[in-house]
Amino acid sequence: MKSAFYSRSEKGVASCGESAHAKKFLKLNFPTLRPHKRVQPIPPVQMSLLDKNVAFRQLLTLANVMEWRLITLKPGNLLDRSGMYVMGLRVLTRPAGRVVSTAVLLCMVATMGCRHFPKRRDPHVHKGGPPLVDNTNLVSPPTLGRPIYACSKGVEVKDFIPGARIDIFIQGNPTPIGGGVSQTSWGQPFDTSVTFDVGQVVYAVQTYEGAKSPPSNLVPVTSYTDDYPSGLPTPRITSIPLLECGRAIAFAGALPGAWVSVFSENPQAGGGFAAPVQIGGTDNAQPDSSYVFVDPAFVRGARISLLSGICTVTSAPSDTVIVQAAPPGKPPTPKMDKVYEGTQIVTVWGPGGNPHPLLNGATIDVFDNPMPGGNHVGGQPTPGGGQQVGIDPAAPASGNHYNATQKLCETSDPSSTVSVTPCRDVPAPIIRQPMPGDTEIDVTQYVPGARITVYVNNNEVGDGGPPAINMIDGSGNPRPLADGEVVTVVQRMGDCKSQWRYVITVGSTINGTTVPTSGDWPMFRNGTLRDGQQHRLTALGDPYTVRKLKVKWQFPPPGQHSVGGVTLRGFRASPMVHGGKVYLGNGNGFLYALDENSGALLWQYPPSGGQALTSQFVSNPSSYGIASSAAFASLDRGDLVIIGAPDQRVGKGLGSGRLIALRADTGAEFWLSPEIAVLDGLTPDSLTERHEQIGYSSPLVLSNRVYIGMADHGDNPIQNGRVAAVSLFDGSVEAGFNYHSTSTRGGGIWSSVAGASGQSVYITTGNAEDGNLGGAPAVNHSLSMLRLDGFTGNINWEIQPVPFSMDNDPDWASGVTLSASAGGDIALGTMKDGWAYAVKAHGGGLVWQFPPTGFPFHPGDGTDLLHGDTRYLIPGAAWNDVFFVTAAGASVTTDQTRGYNRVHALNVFASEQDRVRWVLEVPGTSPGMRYQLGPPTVTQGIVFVGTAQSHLIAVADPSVYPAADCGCSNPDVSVKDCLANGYKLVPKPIILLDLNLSDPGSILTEPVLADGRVFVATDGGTIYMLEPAP
Amino acid sequence: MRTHSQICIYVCVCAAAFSAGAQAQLSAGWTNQPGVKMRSGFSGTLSLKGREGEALVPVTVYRFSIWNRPAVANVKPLSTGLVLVQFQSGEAETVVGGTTNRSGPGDFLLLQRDSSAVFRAASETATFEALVLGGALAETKLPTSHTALSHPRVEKYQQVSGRPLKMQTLASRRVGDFSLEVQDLLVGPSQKTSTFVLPGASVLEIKSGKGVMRVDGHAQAIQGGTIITVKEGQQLELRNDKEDLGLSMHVTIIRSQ
Repeated sequence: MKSAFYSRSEKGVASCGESAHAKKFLKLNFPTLRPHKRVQPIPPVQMSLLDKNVAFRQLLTLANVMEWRLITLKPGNLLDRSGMYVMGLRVLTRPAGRVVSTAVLLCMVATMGCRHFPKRRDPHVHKGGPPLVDNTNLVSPPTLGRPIYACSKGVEVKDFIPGARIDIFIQGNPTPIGGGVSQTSWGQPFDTSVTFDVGQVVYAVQTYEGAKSPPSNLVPVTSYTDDYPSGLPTPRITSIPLLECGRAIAFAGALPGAWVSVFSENPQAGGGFAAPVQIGGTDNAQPDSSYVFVDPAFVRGARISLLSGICTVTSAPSDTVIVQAAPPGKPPTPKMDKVYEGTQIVTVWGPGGNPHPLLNGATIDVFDNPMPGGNHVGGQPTPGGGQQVGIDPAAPASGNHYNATQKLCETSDPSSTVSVTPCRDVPAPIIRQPMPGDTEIDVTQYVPGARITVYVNNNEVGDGGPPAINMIDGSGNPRPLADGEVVTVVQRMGDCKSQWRYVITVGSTINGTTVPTSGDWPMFRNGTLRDGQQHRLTALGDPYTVRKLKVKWQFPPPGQHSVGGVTLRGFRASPMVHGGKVYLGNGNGFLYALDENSGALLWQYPPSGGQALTSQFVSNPSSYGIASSAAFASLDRGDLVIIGAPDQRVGKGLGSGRLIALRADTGAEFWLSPEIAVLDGLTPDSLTERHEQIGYSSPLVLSNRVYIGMADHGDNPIQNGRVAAVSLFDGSVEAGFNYHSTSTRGGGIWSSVAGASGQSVYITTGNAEDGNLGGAPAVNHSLSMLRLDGFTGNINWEIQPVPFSMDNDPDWASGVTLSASAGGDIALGTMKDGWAYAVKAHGGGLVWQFPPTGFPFHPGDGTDLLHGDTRYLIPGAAWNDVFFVTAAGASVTTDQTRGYNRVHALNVFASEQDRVRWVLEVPGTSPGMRYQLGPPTVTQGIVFVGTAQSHLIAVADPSVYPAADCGCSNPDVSVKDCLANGYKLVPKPIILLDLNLSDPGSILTEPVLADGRVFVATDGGTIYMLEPAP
Repeated sequence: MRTHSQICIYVCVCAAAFSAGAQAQLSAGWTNQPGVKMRSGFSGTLSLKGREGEALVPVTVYRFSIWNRPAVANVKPLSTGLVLVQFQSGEAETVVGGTTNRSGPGDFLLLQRDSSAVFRAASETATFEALVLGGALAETKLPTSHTALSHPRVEKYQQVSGRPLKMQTLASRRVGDFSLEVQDLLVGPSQKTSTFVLPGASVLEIKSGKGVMRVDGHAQAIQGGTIITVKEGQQLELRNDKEDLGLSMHVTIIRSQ
């Protein structure tokens, strides 16, 4: 990580706070509150320990390597261990001698082992390039924070150009009601001259160098009781410990626009405490601005508490915190990040730099041209973590050097001096992969205080600041991106414009896989990535609209339980929505095509009176009929709907599985594959018959092929897991593709195959122990996540957390969720035992395990009995860099059932300590009971999930709507005990919707988010369409 | 992925044979039974303080997994100890003294000597742990031959200053002349406790984390999989060296009444 170059690896989740993260810029002369955002350090590069010879051989066998040169040699204690030295190698190519790669080898002399850190340049970063066409009249609209509550007198604005003028308006009134000059590097609170009333609509405008932006998003003023019907949450002090002489305090739990007051009860000589005295506060708390200064400073032994309120309502007081003695002696010497030319913000950390925290409450002072004799150019108290500090004047091109101190009761030694990095070395900003339909660009790394300009096909379409830049066209309307367009981003501070650009093509980064560009939902999990995300901006991305969702139609209509005289069973397949139609298979063996607007039946397959697609071997709901969700495919000859199902017309007529392609408009057969999953007998536990089935596996349509996974009928007996591929054109088996999980039995593919173009397919596999009593099969890919070559079925990589010897049936049944994330492409999944994993999608290395109990497992590690038939079966959803998943969580080793009714939001690119973003105990569900939740889906940070009680729940990630309250990163530890026991406070997301469908069945399928509507199928045999009420 | 039991497995909890000599034989025998595995064992001694002085109680921990598949060869029931079974994963159906119970993760079953218990997996597999208490406890008579116990799964860990976080997994209950309870203890990431004493002689099974346990000042490295017995009244301290994971342990506590 470049020292002053910040990563916003998560989309700004409002933290319930701890002090180990960077705080946003604050000037001493600025009003009380400033943003308080967590800024995650980039995880260290995965290192591979290589034998020295291997490392050298690898380097020298690079294509066209002409020579390598030793460019540095530094013996000594670089890694604080003697006997290590550093070699830098420059690898040159033939014939041009062009540098293609640099690498650093840290070699341990004693063993001659080497650690190889390939230093790869980001392929999206370029210096210079085609001319970029600026539009000096274009300024992006800022983003107005939501919600805005009645009685409040302030708002939060984001996405502005630092230094721009911000004006706040009430719709219908051309006179601004508040505003000011933006100064921070994220969001900023602005006070208003009026108190808001319910029903008003508020927006913001920014003006920069004479150019005025279009209006921001419109935010209606609502009552806080809409979100907090049971009263105000209790504020919490989060910068624990509070230290003597400290002058800042962080908090959580205050509503946007609420007032917060800090009280101190100083200790009395004879014991007890003096009356409380207010020592700090704000009238406009905002989620990204959750700390205030205090004056006078904290006194040792004082009892500190908070109150918050809005309208005439006051919260309960916070828990009190006793001020601790300051550490003896001088505070540790801080460290500054790089200072870039033109910047007005510098960042200071504790000793050693990022991510080491400053002391809670310390006052940070920044000087130019080092002390003594240096000039004080900025400073402020910090609640802890890293601190951005405004400096005045801005860093010049050259000549200045900066250092910083931190002060509690004493002042630290000044930090090492940092000279100004010239403009030519200002890096490119880095953005999240833009997707078709996006109208904003998310900036994930940037220099604090930078202005970000966005170009599409080299023409400027956005000019704003982090965390997102709203793109507009020449008329000021939102400017959606189209697949294949090229986005270029630069950043600037003052007159310095980065010469480095970030250039990226719109679309998925996973080998160029495109995602659906309409609002449809064309296959299970809405795409080959199986990420369960609706990427398109629809009405479901608006928290206010989500609250208005109502059932518009249901199929079959109320009171009916059959179609054409055939009774419906439960729906285990999820709906597929495309082109105005809804396609859904039922456990009764029929596929139904419905009109999306009305729910009217358009056609069914097999037609009325036809042989239902069922099996004569029934073990569990996966084998009753159609459990496989349909997939859409488009050919020149027409649009197709493809399903996998048992079919008694093939094989021995018992219900072998096959793929069936139907015309989307009529339901007529387009092709029928041959027998794919063989069922050639009905004898339970027969070892001479084949009992394969397709079950829940949904077809994957990828590059003119259709892939399907196969498992068995409830391990009765267990079959050899397989993946089959057929031609998309005629359903014939692609003979060149071959994958079997084992050399005997086991490794069933219970879930849908995921895929990425470039012909990579991803699977997870079930257990093998059940079919191999004599020991592990010679070939054993059971209990694994694998990437296969889509042409051959050959294994590209595999991870197997649970060895055969510990196999008590923890099938990996969730399948793979692929995420094109800021830190790389990741394959995610949960095993049945409740552990979740993130794996590099391309290379296959483990990125993390959650919880990180140890990988791989081994006998005697305390988990011997834990890899059994626990029921974490469903896939998760991915959005930005967050994985939403039902997993066992922190208590996996003591009570694996704890996670059955919880949705975990896991930060994909964060330290282990910051893995948990939030945990939701879904209301109305039964703790400890299996099958409580269906697979979650997500759009624009709003997560939808169905429950066993037939409720549809929607919750907002705290980055898109304020949290309901604070929780603990270990949800089995109370908030009160959380911090003191080494865990972290995390937000509890607010529930936007808890809609009881009053269905007799559970919702075990995914809520499909298509065209601004939600489609939910239940185990009771009904599908519901919900859309926002007017 | 089987969810419907069609054929059951019969397994007996065979306490009397859990002496060191028989353990290997039993272990090997059971391990070879199709559909039944005994994963690992532990043998030690608990020192209980009673009215008549210190009593030594042999304690053995066995871990079993059973599969939902055709019946296995009969296992001779040998039961001469008090057995505390805790179910870990999957669903199990137990038949003890003619009474059938269904148990899931976290549930307990207490069996007195000579109980012939039959376990069958009601899901694809079921795993459970059997803690066998011999010596003075072996002869303990229960009101009935067995007691099925379950615990609520909604409570959170409780904190007493300086002690590890505690969750009462099985409330203290009288068993003959003794009381028995089970706690889950948790020391958060990078945390350590003050000195504390458990309310009886205890078997501590470390489930996750890595760190140091001091028993009357003597340090011992611990990590997931470690099993330790401590005497009643011994002073304990715990330190979790993991920065990103709790040090969790399952503690069975026994004391004289």
